[in-house]
Formats: sequence, structure tokens, C-alpha cells
Amino acid sequence: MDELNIRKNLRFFIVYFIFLFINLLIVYFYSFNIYTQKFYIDLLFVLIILSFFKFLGFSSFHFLLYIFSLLVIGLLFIIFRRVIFSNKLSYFLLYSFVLLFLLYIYEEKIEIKIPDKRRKKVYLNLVVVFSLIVIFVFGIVNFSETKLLVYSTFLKDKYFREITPTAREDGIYESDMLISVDIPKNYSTVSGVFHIGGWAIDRCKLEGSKIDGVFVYLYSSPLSGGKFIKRAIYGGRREDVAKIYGEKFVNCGYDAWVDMSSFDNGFYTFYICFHSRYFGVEYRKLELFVKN
Amino acid sequence: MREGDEKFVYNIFKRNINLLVIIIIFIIICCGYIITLPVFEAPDEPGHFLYAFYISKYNRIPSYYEEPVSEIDYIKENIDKDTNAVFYMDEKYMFYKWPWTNNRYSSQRHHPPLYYLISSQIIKPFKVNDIYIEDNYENFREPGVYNSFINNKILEDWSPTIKLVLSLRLFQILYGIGIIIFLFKIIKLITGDKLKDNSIFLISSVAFLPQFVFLCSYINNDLPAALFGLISVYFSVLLFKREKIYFGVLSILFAIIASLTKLNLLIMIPIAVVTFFVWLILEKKTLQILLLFSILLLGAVAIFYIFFRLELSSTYFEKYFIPVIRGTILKFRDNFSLDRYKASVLIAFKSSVAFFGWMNIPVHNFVYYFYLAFIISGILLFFSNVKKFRNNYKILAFISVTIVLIFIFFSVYMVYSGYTQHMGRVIFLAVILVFLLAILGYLNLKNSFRRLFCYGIFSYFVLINLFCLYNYIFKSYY
Repeated sequence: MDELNIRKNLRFFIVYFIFLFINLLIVYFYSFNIYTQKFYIDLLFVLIILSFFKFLGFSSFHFLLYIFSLLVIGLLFIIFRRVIFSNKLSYFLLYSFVLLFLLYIYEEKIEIKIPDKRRKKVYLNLVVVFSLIVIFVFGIVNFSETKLLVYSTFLKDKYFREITPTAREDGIYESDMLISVDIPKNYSTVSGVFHIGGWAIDRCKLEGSKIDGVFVYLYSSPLSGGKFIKRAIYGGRREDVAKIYGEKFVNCGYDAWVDMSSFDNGFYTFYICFHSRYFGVEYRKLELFVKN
Repeated sequence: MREGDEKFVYNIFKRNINLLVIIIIFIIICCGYIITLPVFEAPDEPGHFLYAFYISKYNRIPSYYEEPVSEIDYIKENIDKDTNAVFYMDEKYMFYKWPWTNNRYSSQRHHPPLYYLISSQIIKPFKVNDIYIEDNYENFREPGVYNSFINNKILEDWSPTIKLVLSLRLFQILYGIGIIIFLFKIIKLITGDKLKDNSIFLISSVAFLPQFVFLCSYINNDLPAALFGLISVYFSVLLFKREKIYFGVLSILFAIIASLTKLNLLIMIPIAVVTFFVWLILEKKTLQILLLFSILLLGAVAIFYIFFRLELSSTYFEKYFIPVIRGTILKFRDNFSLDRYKASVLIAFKSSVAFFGWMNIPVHNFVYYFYLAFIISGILLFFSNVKKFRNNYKILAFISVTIVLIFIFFSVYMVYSGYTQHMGRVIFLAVILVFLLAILGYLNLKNSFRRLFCYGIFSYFVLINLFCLYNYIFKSYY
């Protein structure tokens, strides 16, 4: 078995560990960064690995080993509660997996037709081209400004989730939660310990219905594995709300002080979740720039 | 059971020991969830359970028409203030919505009754007359609280209700195993000897699909519907392969059974019928075409006659069927947008491959992208080697058309009911068939590559499922 005879192939292991190390570095640094959603960085990196593998004479079989190690590392991230890293790694995984089988098909059907001498040159050129693209992307494009511009103009309405369940006419059993996040404003910049505040009421006519908890989550909604930050203090006095909706809703304010001083600067998504006694969880998305 | 059926099952496992390994691990994982999941924690479990319980108790199908009259008074009289639970002793109140259950614990009376008829026969021997329903909701949603199995006193209060629920849940595993075996048999029919030894491990991609494990762990009719749909597909494949006319009839029969289990598989009936017709036309069997046509015509007339004669039918049509169609048309006219549609289809697909139902296990993204990559690569390989399937063009065309039609049918349904995360269940049969195509693709890999790939994939699926089970039982992410 030539392919399985990797013990002798020390070169493969060296390259393998170097790329794995770089891959993990990228995952580590870019998970908290606002560039996270730039999919082409991940794609380019995978393409560079692939062309380098081919340049050194490795096949898709070797790349399969690389992917399995990514799978195991992703699982380890999840086990040790580093969901954000595993999420980032999943993009690498997607591109690597699909490109692996494209490579497999290429090896099976096309590569045989290319003469041996030419192959190395082609792969080397590919490595250079992809590396140049990476340098260009990192050097020229100013990500943070672009991102800010995009978020504050085009995506603002799309990203801010507005769901206020409405009561039907006979709606005794319908959820009727009214929620407001007053401060901070969406897409604003915060630093250190900051205050999240607003009000929430459950107007359902059912006896005993109320909002019995307000929780702050980071990165994602609770059902999708968001990180629980803290429980807000609910029951603050809000005369202004009571004036409009009735005196019984006077204690409907909530406050939470969130400490972001230990986090890196960047773009963060908070999920403020409101738990109604009978009707489950509603949430509001709050997207903020943290600048300590 | 026919004589020799035990031998048939024995033969499957004797020749394919790896399939047995997959099924044993699958049973262990499902049992883990079944035992630890608090009763009625799953979103619509109480609705399904009450439907079956109603039939077992009163020996008749509940009417869709019953409306709550003085529910509030009833609850006020019967609510236990400390435990927030209500005893439902009275038939009249059995299907009323409970105060805490709006949206989450919806009634399931709109479903066709086949699944519930089977379930009612399973729970009948327990001879339970009164059930007790406890509100688990607040316990498990609170952040920082472990799952209810640890906190609650389910094992201490081994009430009759829990016995019934567990017996029905355990029965779900049988449907699950049925799906695995029929998937195996379809692939075997198409590829013959290619699916043996380590290649069988590719089936673990479906067996350990999070959504599949989720459906096998609580009471629902999606799983049996998918099983009957898959059996219908199996007989259609057999029809093309063995060319015996009764396979076509069986295919139509199982399509009818599938749609009697859940209405969203109604699309399987025209698929099975048209497939049969196409086969008859290709084989030039004029007499049989005429015979089948007349049987279908008579059958349709008989069904409509029976349906309109039943008292239930008018209320069913008024309250459910007509509003669904009218609502779909209106919503399509007023609210339809391509962006929303695309987002919903994506969400449905995501939920069908990588959503652990209501369970809060934060591997969704990772598992989803992995499965996505698995499917894309498999289908790429499938198309690159499509010439190797030249003997099975008709079968593959049939499977592809079935996938597309289920997606289209689902789209109509989705426009009516809107955006939801749990929509994956509705297209589950189509997802199984997509996986089937992907597996066919992977079977064309070279030997050494395939061996490593199959073992790797299998061990990874097992690992991630065991990890999720461990997390669900002992940890909490809230």
C-alpha cells in the first residue's frame, strides 16, 4: 500500500503539522474578529493548502487525513465549550471537504493527462497566485470600515429582528408580549461595563401571565448555543409604560450591566431573551461594537 | 408475520454484520434520549399522545370540531397551585388547550388517524383511564438548570402516564430501524455488490443524523410517515428492477398508508401512481393500464363518497382543509417574497440535517456544515460517475423527481405556515433520498480511500452522537 505507507513520508507530517498549526491560529484570531464572515479568507487558505499539498506530491488521500484531524479538533472545541472556534472551523471544514472530492475527481479524470514535469510548475504557480491574492486582500481592503458601513446602511433593517406577537380578537391564549430595548442603540459603540436596559410586558389576559425572566446571551440565541452572560434584574419602575398600558404594568423595567472589558475589540451580537411564563421565549438582537 | 420472515431478517444481518453494528449503536443512543427526556418536554408530544390516548380510551376518533366553552372555569377549579398541574378527568376537556401550552403544546387533531390507531393499540393493554400532565416547561427553560431528568422526580413518580409515553417512544425506534433497513435495501438494489463490508458504514450518515435521532426519541407521526413513504419508494424501485406488476400496486398502497399517517406525504400518491403508469406505458401493457385506470377512478369516487358521508368530514373540511388552501393562496398573493422563501427553504434544510430538535446542544453549526459538505461532495461524486449507473437511469430519475416534487409540495405548505425552525421534519423523506444519492456517489471511491473514509465517517458520527447524549444527560448549556 503506497498510500498507507506514510510512516516513511516524514515530509508529509511536517507539512501537515505546520498547516494545522496555521489553520488553528487563523481560527483562534479570527473567531472574535469582525472579519469572521469573510468567507473567501477561509476558502483561499484551503486552496493554498491544497495546491501546496499537490506541489509536494501528496494526493487527496493525504488531504482526507487532514480533514479528519480538523473534525476531531472541532469536536474537542465543542467538548471544551469553545463553540465559537468550532463554528469558525466549520467553514474550513465545508470548503476542505468539497474541494477534497473535487480534487479526487480531478486526480481520477484529468491529472493523468498532464505530463509529470508540468504538474509541479502548475501547482507552484497556483500557490503563488493564491498567496498574492491573500496579500492583496489583507493589504488593500480596510475591513473594519467596510463592515461598519455595510452594517449601518444596508443591513440594518434586515438584521434587526422585530417580532411583536399580536393578540387575536378572542386571544386569551395568545402571546401578547411587548418588548423594548431602550439602551444601548443598535450598532452603537460600547466599552468596559455597559448598561442594557428597557422594558417588557406580557399583556395576555390569562391569569398569572407575566414575564418571569430576562436573560442576556452572546453570539447566538439560546437554542443555537449562545453563551449565557447574565440574568437581568426585572421589575424596575416605569411610569411612562404604565401611563400607556395600564397601572398593573408599572414594574416592567429591566437592567443588566454587562462586563466586556476582558473581551477583544470587535463586533458582537447580543441576544436579549424574554421568558414569558406561558408562552416561551422571545428575543431581540442587539449588535454592538466593543471598543475598550 | 409470514413464515420465514425471521429468516429474512436473520439473513440481512448475517451477511451484513456492519448494519447490525449501526443499528445496535442507534438503539443505544435513542434509548438514552428516550429515557432521559422528560415526559412532554418535546414541543408537540402531548398533542400526539392525547390523540392516541383518546382513541384507546373511547374507541373512536376525536372530532376536530370541539371548542373550549368554559375552560378557564374548569382550570380554576382543578389547578393545583403548588405544582401548576391540572387533572383532566373529563372527556370534554381532554383536547382543550391548556393555559401554559399555547403554541408549544398544540392539539394534533388535524392529523389523519392511522398512526394514532396503531399507537392506541400499543397503550391499550396498560388499561390506564386517567392521565396526569405536569408542566415541565419552567424547569427546563431556566438558565443554569440541568435537564429535568436530574431535577424532577420522574423516576420516583412512576406514574401510569409516563409508562404509556415511554412505551410509545420505544415503539418509535422500530420505525427508525425500518427506515435504516429499507434505505439499505434500496441502495443494495441499485448498486448490488458494491454496498458491502465497510461501505455499509456510509448508512450511518442517515442513522446518526441529529434530526433522525430526535424524531426517534419522542412521540410523533413524522417518522412512521417517512418510513411508509420510503417503503413506497422501495417498491417503485423494485418495480423497475424486477418488473413485476404487483410491486406497483404495493407502491401505491404504501403511498396511501403514508398519507394516512401524515398529510404532507399526500404527494407520494400521485408520484407512485404516475410511476406505475409510466412503467406500464414503457412495458406496453395496455390491458393493465385500462384496469388500473378504472380501479383508480372507482377508488377515488368511493373515497369521496365515504368522506362526505362521514359527519366528521364537513367539520374537517371547514376547519382545516379549506382554510389551509385559502390561506395559502392569500398568503402567496400578499406576502410572498423570494428572499423569504429562500431563507425558509435553507432553514428547513438546516433543521432537517443538523437540528437536535428542542435540545440545546451547541453543535448545530459544526454538524450542519459537515453534513452539507458530505451531501455536496457525495452528489459531485455521483454526477462524475453517473455513467456507472447506466442500468439504473430510470430508478435514479424517479428518485430525483420524487425529491424535487416533495420540495415543491413542501414549498406550498411553507408559504401557508411560514417561517419555522422545525420544518425539517416535513421534508425528511426528501432528505433521506438526497442522502441516498450522496451515498451512491461515495460508493465509487477507490478501495483504500473508501475504507479510510467509511471508517472515519462512521466513528465520527458515533462520537458526536455519544458526546451529545452525554451532554444532554449530564450537562446544561443554559
